[in-house]
Formats: sequence, structure tokens, C-alpha cells
Amino acid sequence: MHAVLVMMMRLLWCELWRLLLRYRFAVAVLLAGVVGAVVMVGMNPVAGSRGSLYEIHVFGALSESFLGVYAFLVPLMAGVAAAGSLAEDRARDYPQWILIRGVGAGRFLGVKAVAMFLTTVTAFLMSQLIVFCTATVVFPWGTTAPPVGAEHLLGNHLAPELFVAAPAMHDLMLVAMLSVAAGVLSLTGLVVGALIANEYLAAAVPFLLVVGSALVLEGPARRLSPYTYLELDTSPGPGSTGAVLLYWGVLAVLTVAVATGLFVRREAQ
Amino acid sequence: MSDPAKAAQLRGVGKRYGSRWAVQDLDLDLNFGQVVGFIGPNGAGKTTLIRMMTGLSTASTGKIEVLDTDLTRQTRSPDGIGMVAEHPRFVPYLSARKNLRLLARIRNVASDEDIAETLRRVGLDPQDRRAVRGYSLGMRQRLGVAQALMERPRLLFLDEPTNGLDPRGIVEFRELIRQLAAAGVAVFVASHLLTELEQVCDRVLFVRRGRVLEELDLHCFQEETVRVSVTGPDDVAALREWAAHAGIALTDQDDTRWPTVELATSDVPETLAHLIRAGVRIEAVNRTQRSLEQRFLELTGSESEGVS
Repeated sequence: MHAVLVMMMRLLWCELWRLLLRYRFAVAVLLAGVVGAVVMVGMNPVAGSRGSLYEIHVFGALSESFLGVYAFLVPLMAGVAAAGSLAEDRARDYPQWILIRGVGAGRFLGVKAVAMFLTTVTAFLMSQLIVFCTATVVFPWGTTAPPVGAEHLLGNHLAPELFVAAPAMHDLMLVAMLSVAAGVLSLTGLVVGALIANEYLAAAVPFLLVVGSALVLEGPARRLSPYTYLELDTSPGPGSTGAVLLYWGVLAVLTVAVATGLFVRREAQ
Repeated sequence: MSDPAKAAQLRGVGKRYGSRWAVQDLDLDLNFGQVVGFIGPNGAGKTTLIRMMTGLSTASTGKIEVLDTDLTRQTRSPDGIGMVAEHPRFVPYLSARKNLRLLARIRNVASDEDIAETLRRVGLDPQDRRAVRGYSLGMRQRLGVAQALMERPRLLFLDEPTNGLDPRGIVEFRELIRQLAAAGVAVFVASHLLTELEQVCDRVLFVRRGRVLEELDLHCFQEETVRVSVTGPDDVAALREWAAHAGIALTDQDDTRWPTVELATSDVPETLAHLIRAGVRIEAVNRTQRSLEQRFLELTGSESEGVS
């Protein structure tokens, strides 16, 4: 068991190395970073995006900027960063070099999923570093101070009390939430990658899934749409942070299970 | 598999895709130090067989034992296996050495020195920092061989290993196979270069539509014939009459200046004495050995299938 774990850790290192060295990783970081920075530069520094009358400072600025465009930017970035990885490998017949070294197909896919998740999370965090640096230029240094009782101005925003009490923590929480979302969305490319060796199609899956579900799912079914858990400021809203994490956790488990089943079945044939 | 000399043993192995059998009822014994070739038209089941023998896919029927591991239902490659695919492709933005380092890290068997030595052995420069996307087909093929050899396999599978290699590369590769076999490595090679197989293999399997048509021991494949060129048609008729009487098979050859036939016998002096007594005017006589290519064509008939 120990030997298997050691081998999987070594494989994870290899997979991470391969993913982080792809030029697509840099493109994903720049895409999310630059678009996020542009959104931040375009924000009204005084009124805030909800018309609440308080001045935005560096800490709290990220929470203010995580609106609208991020619901589409995150899946786009997830697609570029890692979603097409398995399809790309399969198009190159690369998995055989790994499987021939005694790694089972299921284990390979499990490690691949972890590597894709971590790569996308890393890409998103790096992009937010660019956005944060932009915030330090655009907004005055310090913590945003929404007036007491401003929670009602924040609509369906996730954890409004936290934003009022500790905007910097709220920033970190949203970055963490969206990182997890990006990581899980990148895993959706695994399913397509297990079926078709077309990296472009697999890379487009996260974006198509979010846009498609936002357009198709109506009423209570919107609760199932990833768009709901990305657009954190719209009705009906994701509810609690626990609900957001549960949604992405379930989606991750389902996606990896389906992709593993498909991949193992195909490889065994 | 109790015999320690055996690297692989297959009994009644079959693989079915829907209603189509890719491999059917295949028996094979592969010993350490032996080179076995696989010859067949496209779709003969070459890749399917290699995938089953490497543990990458399972068999529908029969029993597969490779390196003392029962692979009949297992889809995990046992240790000690190396494989070279038909069109080896690697991480395009990494150098050859970095590509091998990545793969070597999984099992952690080959050191950096082993990698450098293996690259040199297959004719690649370990110091070459170019990304493999800039490699020619032949260089990628050499890299494919290096990734298979760097972990010192006991059983090596080669799928069209000379693809894209220049003549010098082919000669070097042939020598490499001989060295590996001499060192006790069992080698299973599928190639369409029949003359290459003829030079390196101990045995070959002629396979068609997943079935073994014939297994030929090349050490015993000394089937010699005598080609006789005669002066004119009358001599051909006399020769035919004599051959029919002597019970010797005869085939016409139309690639020479004189009427020529090939006799399925290896006894040149006696044949000559008989023909002269029968009044046949002889222009030329030479002893020939049937090639693997001829045997392949005889077995597969005149269907216009490509060779794989």
C-alpha cells in the first residue's frame, strides 16, 4: 500500500510538472488576471457596485469585483488551464507510457484529476495576485469599511456579515470559493477527454456547461446550475458557503467517477 | 508459469470487439533471450495482442501469463516490461532527457546516469536541450526505444520499431536487438520489414485476422530450392516431365532471360545429373533459399492487403 502511495505521489509530481509547464497555464493566469484587473480598474471607487455609500479600499476590493464577469471568466480559465489535458494526452497516446509502468488506469485518472484541480486552483490564485496588485494601484491602501447595517445593501452576496466585519477575510473566502469552482470545472474536461481525444472540445466543456446551464435551467432547477454557484450576487444565490462547497464537492466526485469509469473501460478494451 | 525460462505464455487467447474477433485462439511461448516476430496484414491483431501482453487490456478468452503475472483479467502492467509504440509521441515542449526523467520518476528505477547512457546507446545526445517537438520521426523513434530500455526491461515489445529510421539507424537497431537478446531479454517485435525480422528473429508468427496461420522457427527455415534456366520451351517441357515423374514440385519463374523454373529440392548434383540424362539443355543453375517474404505472400495469398 505504501509503495502504491509513493508511486502515485511521484506520478502526481510528474503530472503537475507537465501541466504547470504548458504555455496554456500562463495563458490562463494572464487571461483571468488581466480581465480581473480591467474589471477592477473599471469599478467606481466611491459608490461601490451596489450603490452603497462607502469608499472601496484595497482589502475588500476583490469582493466588490467578483461580480458578473467572473461567472464566465472562471470556467473559461479552467478550460484553458487544464480541462483539455487528458484529451491532449490521449491524442498523443501518452497514457500508455504511464500505464506500462504499472500504474492502473483508475489510479492514473485519479492522479490526473488531482493534478488538474491543483493546476487550475494555482492558475486562479496567481491571476488573483495580479488583480490584487492592480487593486493596490487603483484603490487607497487599507480596509474597506462598510457602515454597520450595510448587510442589506449586499443583496444575495455570500456571507454579507463577514464582508461588513472583515472585508479582507471575505476577499480570501471568495478567492477560495472561486478557486475551488475553477478546479472542479476543469475536471469536467476529464469526461470528454475520456471519450474523445480532442483537447479543444474538452477545454470548452467548462464554459459550455456554465453558459448552457444558465440558459437552459429555469426555476428550482437553477439550483443545479454551476452558474448559480459562480455568480455569487444574483437571485436565487447559492445560499451558504457550505452549500457552495457541497455543490462543488458533489460535482467533483461525480465527474471524476464518471470519467474514471469511462477511461478504465476504454483502456481495458 | 513454472518454467523460469519463459517470459510469456499465452494459451487460447482471444479478444473480441462486439462480434468481431481481433485475436482468436492464439498460443505463444516466449523465452528469455529469444526474439519473436509478428507478421500480418493490417488489422491482423498486432496492437491488440501487444496491449494484452503488456497488461494494458484484458483478453476475452484464454490465459495470459507474463513475467510470472497472470494478466488474464488484470489490467496493470507487471514490472520488467518495456514497450515501443508504432508512433511514439512525447511531451512536445520538453527535451528528450526531461521527457525520460518524467517517466523514470514514476517507478524510480532509472537514475539520471541510466537515462543519459540509454540516450547515447540509441544514438541521441543527452545534452541536447531542444524540445522533442523539433525531432524528426527517426529521432522520436529512437527516443521511444530509449524510454523502453532505460528501466532495463526483461521483456520488450516493439511495434514497428524501425519506422522512420535511416539505413544506419536500422542497422544499429538490429544490433541493439541482438545485444538485448544475448543479455537475456525476451523481445516481441511486430514489423512490416520482413527482411529485418528475418535477420533478428528466432521465430516468427504469421497472423491473419487474429489467427496464427503459421509459426516458423527461423533456425529451421532452411527451405532451399534449385532454380534451373533452360535453353528453350522444349527443355521446359522435358524438365516438367522429369519433375512430374520424380514427384518434385515446380514453379515457373518469369524474371530471367531464359525459361526458368524453381524446383522444390536442395540436391543440386543429383538434379543436374537427372536433367542431363533427360536431355534438358541447361543454361544456369543456382541454389536459392526461400525468404520470409515469399512465405508470407504464399500464406496470405494474392489479396491486396497491406502488410503491418
